[in-house]
Amino acid sequence: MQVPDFILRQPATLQEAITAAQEASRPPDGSHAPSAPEQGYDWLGGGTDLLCNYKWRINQRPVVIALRGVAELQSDVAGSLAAGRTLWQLENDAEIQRRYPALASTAALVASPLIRRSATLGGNLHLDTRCWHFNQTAEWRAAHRSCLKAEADQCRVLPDPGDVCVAAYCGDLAPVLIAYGAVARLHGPDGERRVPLAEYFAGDGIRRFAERRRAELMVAVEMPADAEDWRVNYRKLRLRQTFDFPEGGVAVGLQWESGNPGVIAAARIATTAYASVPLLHPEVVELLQGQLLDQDLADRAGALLESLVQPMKNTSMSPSYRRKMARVLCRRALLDCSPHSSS
Amino acid sequence: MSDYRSTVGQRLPLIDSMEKVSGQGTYIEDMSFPDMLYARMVRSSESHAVVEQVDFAAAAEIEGYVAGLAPGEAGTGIHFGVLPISEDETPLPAPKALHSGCIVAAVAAESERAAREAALRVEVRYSVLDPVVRPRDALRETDHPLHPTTVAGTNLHKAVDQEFGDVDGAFAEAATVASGEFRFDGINHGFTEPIGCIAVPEANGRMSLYSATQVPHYLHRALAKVLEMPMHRIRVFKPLVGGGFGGKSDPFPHEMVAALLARKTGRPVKIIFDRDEVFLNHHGRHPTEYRIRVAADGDGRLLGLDSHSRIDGGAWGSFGVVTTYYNGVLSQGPYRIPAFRYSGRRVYTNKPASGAMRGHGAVNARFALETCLDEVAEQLRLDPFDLRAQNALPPNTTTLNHLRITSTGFLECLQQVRERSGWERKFRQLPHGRGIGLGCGFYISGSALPIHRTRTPQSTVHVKIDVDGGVTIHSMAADIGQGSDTMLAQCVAEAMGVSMDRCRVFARDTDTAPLDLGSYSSRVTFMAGNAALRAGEAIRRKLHKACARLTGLRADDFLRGANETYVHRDDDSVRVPYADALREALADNGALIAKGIYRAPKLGGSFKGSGAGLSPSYSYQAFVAEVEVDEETGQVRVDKVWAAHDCGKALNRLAVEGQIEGSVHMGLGQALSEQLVFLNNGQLQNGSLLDYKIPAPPDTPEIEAIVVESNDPEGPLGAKECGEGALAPIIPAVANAIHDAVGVRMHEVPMTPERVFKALEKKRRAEEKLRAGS
Ligand SMILES: Cc1cc2nc3c(=O)[nH]c(=O)nc-3n(C[C@H](O)[C@H](O)[C@H](O)COP(=O)(O)OP(=O)(O)OC[C@H]3O[C@@H](n4cnc5c(N)ncnc54)[C@H](O)[C@@H]3O)c2cc1C
Repeated sequence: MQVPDFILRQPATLQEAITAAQEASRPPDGSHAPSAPEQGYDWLGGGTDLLCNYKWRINQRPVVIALRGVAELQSDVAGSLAAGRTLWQLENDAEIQRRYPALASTAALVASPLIRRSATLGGNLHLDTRCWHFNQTAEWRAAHRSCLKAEADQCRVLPDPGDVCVAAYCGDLAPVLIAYGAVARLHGPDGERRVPLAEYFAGDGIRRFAERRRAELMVAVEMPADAEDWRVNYRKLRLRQTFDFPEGGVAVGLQWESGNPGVIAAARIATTAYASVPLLHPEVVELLQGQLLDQDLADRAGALLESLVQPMKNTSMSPSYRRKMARVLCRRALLDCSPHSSS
Repeated sequence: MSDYRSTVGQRLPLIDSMEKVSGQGTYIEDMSFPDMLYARMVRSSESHAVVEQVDFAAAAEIEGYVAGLAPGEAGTGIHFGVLPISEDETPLPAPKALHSGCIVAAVAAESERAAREAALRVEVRYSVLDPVVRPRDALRETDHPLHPTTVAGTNLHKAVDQEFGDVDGAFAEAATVASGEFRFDGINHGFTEPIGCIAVPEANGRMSLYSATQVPHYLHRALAKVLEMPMHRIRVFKPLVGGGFGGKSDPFPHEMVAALLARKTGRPVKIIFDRDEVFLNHHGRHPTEYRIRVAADGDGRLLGLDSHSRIDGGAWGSFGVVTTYYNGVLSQGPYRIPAFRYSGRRVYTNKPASGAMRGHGAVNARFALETCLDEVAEQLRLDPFDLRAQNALPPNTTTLNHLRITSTGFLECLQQVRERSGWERKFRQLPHGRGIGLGCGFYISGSALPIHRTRTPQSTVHVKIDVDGGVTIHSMAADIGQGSDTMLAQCVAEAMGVSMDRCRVFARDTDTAPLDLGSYSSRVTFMAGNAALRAGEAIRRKLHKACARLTGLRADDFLRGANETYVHRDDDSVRVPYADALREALADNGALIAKGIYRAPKLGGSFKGSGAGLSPSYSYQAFVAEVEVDEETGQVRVDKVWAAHDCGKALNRLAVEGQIEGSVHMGLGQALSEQLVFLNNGQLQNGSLLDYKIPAPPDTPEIEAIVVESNDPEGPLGAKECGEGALAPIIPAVANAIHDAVGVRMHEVPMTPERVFKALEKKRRAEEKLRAGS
């Protein structure tokens, strides 16, 4: 297996990185389809997602801009986590473990220890969507004549997809950060903008983001001041205890009524791997709000979530099993939040 | 008396381990030759198609492109295969591509990068045929069978029907019958080192092939056939091999393609597969449907076994004829079975070929039998251990199908795991969700019949000693990581009474090594080990003659003594150091050489198929697994495994324990997570190590490897196999433990969370129905 040729840029500052991206990209043509192979650039974090795809000749670009040397992405500023932080650091940082325990423990569930040494926070959040008909070698895809997100104009998951791609978003950290109420800090030619992560992702397996601006990158993830008041928990469905992407993932965040631990004042429920973007589930939030968290409430919330998620047949476990497991994941994540639970 | 100190039973690190961990060792990927080209395979986009035309024009435009090889060119249509009875593979389609991803052409270029680019640009025109994907469809008549040799216009490759004793009578009189229909997905070996080879056309017109192979000899034969060259003009060289497990035990099309391209270009040609290509090459465990009935009397004595297998061979024959037999005959142990019927059908389908894989032919059948035995015990309210012990084959008996049983440590295996696992206080007593289960096994220690009809010994080992005092060992036994080089050194050193570090093993090169059939059927320690012992003994006799000359005493009266001396049997003050004996032996004579051979004794009956399953000895296993089942998700966690294996004698305890642990780990993969998934057209869906789920360290339980020694009368120093038999029992042990934990019987393997969950749902529904009804 060989990574195809590309031009590697190694900027040292944010400004240099943005300039390199401007040079490498043509003006966006307005379409959301992946630009032609001869166009554009990709940001490179740890490369544990991007370069795997490149090896399989999936949507590779001529220019790759490495972010490891960009100083602004390497160190946290007050209240935010730098996008260049490795998952290994997130997992082992004593302060993160104390302030955002679910973030540290979820980082430890991603991929494998070796991969987490180079995988970055920014890369994890921007992880490309995945599908059994997409994450395959060039020869495989050619034989299979798939897929919309790669070089073909048909989809093997849906019989009549239109131009909608149903590849699944399988990042583990996004739902957890959403449950904490985190905000993305982005930098581009026009300066900085801040977008709550809950609003950052949108669209389908190809489009993926509510608004993607040319030469813009994620500099950090800002944790809101009240993040530590939230009880957050994440449950992940996978076959093996390491390596495997989530086949379903449920994050819950709860805030208790003041003076009344166990009674839910506010809630956030986010899932991953069930759709092309991390999903929020206001219906479940509504069910939970103002209620005392007990077994029965957790059961009902799980059942409701099960009825809401609609996984596709494009990962290794069947959609019906993944859907049923949403209930279990949700119930367990909720019960882990209860005041008497150790986590 | 001799106070010779033997290494037998010690924990010896493998002699090539430092070389490997330091990176000094040479694998195919590390090798290169001047002017070497890189070849890349062009693979079929169709599951079943006639290849009409291959066009290299666009590929030739890539800078560095040198040559292409297409169907129709010399040699590309010559048939070969590991078994002479099913030589149905060809280097390139002749004229049909038989599965999606099979090799249809190849390009050679100056660099790997150029070869890859060029291969992507080769245009192939097909005339497409309907693929046969499901085994049951393969039994229908068709106008386009995969091979012209199939049975009666279908895609049936091999049918086996055997019956011994009064089977119908046994079932008629049975007090209890357990039965089941089982389904097993195909699984891949998952060895570490991807497949690769380098073909080198020598200046003198010979052809050398360097290949990561388990079977240099069969590769040698196949090359001679395809290249239409006499064997002496061909040399096969086996560098270090990074794991095989049966996945490198056939001669393969890419090896032929490398040689043909080397001949065509006059330059060395290297091929290294990507992982997805390893999956496409496959030759792994057959997807299998298995039907079985077991009859027992009221006391739990087994009366009869009736089984049927339908195995999915994929595109080629490979070892499949043997697999078809093994799925039946290897169920004749470790229990005495008075009536036995088996029918097996192996079919061709348009998928990557199935072949031999660790525990070849025995694993799936074993699962079915051991699961049913658990059921018999349950029905008769017997303890599963008691049921098995009561039916154990005694030593020195013969089975119905004429397998000769000599040593057996089966009862001791049972006793060891029963005690160590705390069975008595756990079985049927653990809290709901936790369970414990037993699975047993039985495996050949080398196939007694060679693949080719010949009187040549199955193993020959040469030993040479010269003035430096080192011991040079030549053999073609293939070390594939299992440690056979270490075993050869140990056997020779042991026989000579010298230190192992004098030994250097050259088991790589058909030009210098005497014949050995290779690493398959768990034959190497038994056969090559015996040959090595005999070679070492033969050369020691020469040294004893030198001792006689030096002392004036009789050669036959010398024994091996401590610190590399030869000692007189009646007077241990008479000692001749090895160095002195050697100097005397070399005088006027030159380097000493000796050889040892092994040929299996004549065994077995004279009925059709009587050769299958014959072995000079058999290994035995009893394993216990303790599991926890998450009833809400169906996830099974194996907490601990106790694995007792009768290997005859542990020559090297470290190596034996390593084999047991490795087998358990590999078996757990088949038990819980590994499966090849195919699309409806036969295209392999999950040919990557992310999607093909081999258990990782956190999934692997604590394994207590228990070595049982029955001291085989014919094994080298009492040893028999330990590399394969230990895989099968863990799978039913887990299934039986799941049953103990949550009361469901799993008939589909792997027992993925989803399958366990479904079985639990089915049980819940049945219970609800029962409650509603009552
Ligand atoms: C075997 C294996 C198992 C895996 N298992 C999991 C898993 O269980 N869970 C999981 O979540 N992931 C998993 N991954 C995917 C991946 O390793 C992680 O998601 C990782 O965090 C990606 O980070 P990276 O820095 O390596 O990303 P890269 O590969 O460098 O980048 C990924 C994407 O993000 C973009 N990007 C990177 N940084 C920025 C930035 N600052 N701003 C904007 N865009 C950016 C890149 O352009 C690219 O499109 C697995 C990968 C492998 C190979």
